[in-house]
Amino acid sequence: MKNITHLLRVKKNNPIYELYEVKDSKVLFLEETNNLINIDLDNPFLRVVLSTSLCVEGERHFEEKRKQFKVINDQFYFNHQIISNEKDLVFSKPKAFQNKLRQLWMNKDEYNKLIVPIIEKYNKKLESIISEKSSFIVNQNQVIKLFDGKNLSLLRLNEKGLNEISIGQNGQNINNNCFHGLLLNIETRNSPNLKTEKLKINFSSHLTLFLFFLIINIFIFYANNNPIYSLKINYFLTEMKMNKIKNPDKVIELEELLRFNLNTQLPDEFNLFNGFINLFPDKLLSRLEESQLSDGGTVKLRFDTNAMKEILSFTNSNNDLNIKIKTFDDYILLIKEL
Amino acid sequence: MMHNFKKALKDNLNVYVFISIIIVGSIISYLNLSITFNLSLSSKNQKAVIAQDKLNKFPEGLLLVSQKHQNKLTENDTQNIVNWLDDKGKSKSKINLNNNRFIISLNYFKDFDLANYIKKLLLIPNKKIQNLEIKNKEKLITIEFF
Repeated sequence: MKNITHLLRVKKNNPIYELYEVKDSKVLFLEETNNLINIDLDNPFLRVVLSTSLCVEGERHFEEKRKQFKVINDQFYFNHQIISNEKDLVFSKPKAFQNKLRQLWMNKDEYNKLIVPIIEKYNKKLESIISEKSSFIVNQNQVIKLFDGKNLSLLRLNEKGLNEISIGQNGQNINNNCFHGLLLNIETRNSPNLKTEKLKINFSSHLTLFLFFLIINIFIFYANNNPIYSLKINYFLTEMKMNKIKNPDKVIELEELLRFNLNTQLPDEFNLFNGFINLFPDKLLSRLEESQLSDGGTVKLRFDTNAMKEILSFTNSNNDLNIKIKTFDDYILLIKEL
Repeated sequence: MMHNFKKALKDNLNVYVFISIIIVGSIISYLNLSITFNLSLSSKNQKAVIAQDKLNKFPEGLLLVSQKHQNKLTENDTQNIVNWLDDKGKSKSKINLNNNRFIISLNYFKDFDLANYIKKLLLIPNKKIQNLEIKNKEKLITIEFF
């Protein structure tokens, strides 16, 4: 993590900006100005501290055991329309820590006028934009007087040992370098921060990702030219059912058709044909030379000429079958429409 | 409006580049695998793989006659189809292919089950038995099938 090199205090009253240098976590006054252009820093890593007159850091208790309380990033948890309307405010993401929810907010116009230019100027060189309350380490019994014009705020520890800020009586001896000599609080992860966290992806990440894909593709090329690897990969893909099938639609359709055909019954004409043949006595069947079933459901039975007597006997006793008899020189043909 | 767009683009350019590398890298790797090792992750291909597994359980003769066009059937293919039809030597079939028609002539022997033989033929998709002729003396059956 980068070390903070400078601290920029932003106030409501003139002079608006106070610049401090940070050395060994100790804050040392450098200059004050009303114009940001006058502040010229070489490669800084900057913390912006908002005056208590400019912002509010709210804190409220919540019951963690219930687990019903879910912190929503875009929610403003200190809505109080008598004082100000939510749409007129810029507020930080809520921070939940030790059963307490904290949020920092300030007037939108003041934010646009005083803070946005700092963000635009220093952009990636900003550590955080936080309140005075969260910025410093306060010793026991120490009371730090923070002036913003005539407005006085008092920073001290409460009974629980946490930083607490209160409004003091307006002072006469205005001090415009009141951070001088204070110890910087480095650990501000749980403090509400107005700096919007952008996803940072550095060049090495891009390069690593690029190399990752490059190595994969080189390996694919290498494996393809190595019979053992090629065999293993093909086997693996087949086992995982990821090998490409030619004409997948046809394969799916054929499988469905064959599965359907497995359950189909013999067509009726075959059952009728079988039933018709079973009507014939064995003696007559022994004289049957040929039988034919055509698609139209026509059955033709060819008997030898000596079978005429049995045929007539059979047809007379089965008149309802409507069997046609045709005689030829060397055979007799029975025709039946199924 | 345009200024805001440009600013947003500039602010998030590294994120867009990172995401682009992931997308382009994934597509190239997938295409490479697809071309080199016939990899396919499509749901249709998954279904086809499962269907292919099930098809492999069907007799080879049935698959040949179902999948291959008649003109592309080799002698070996025809022999496989005949082997599938002639169950345990109860018949001896011969297949003639003529103008998209199968004409099967078979000599049958002891314990031959015609119903079973016809059931096999009915498994073949998009084909229908047009004519069945049984000659008792020669123990010969001719089936026209198209």
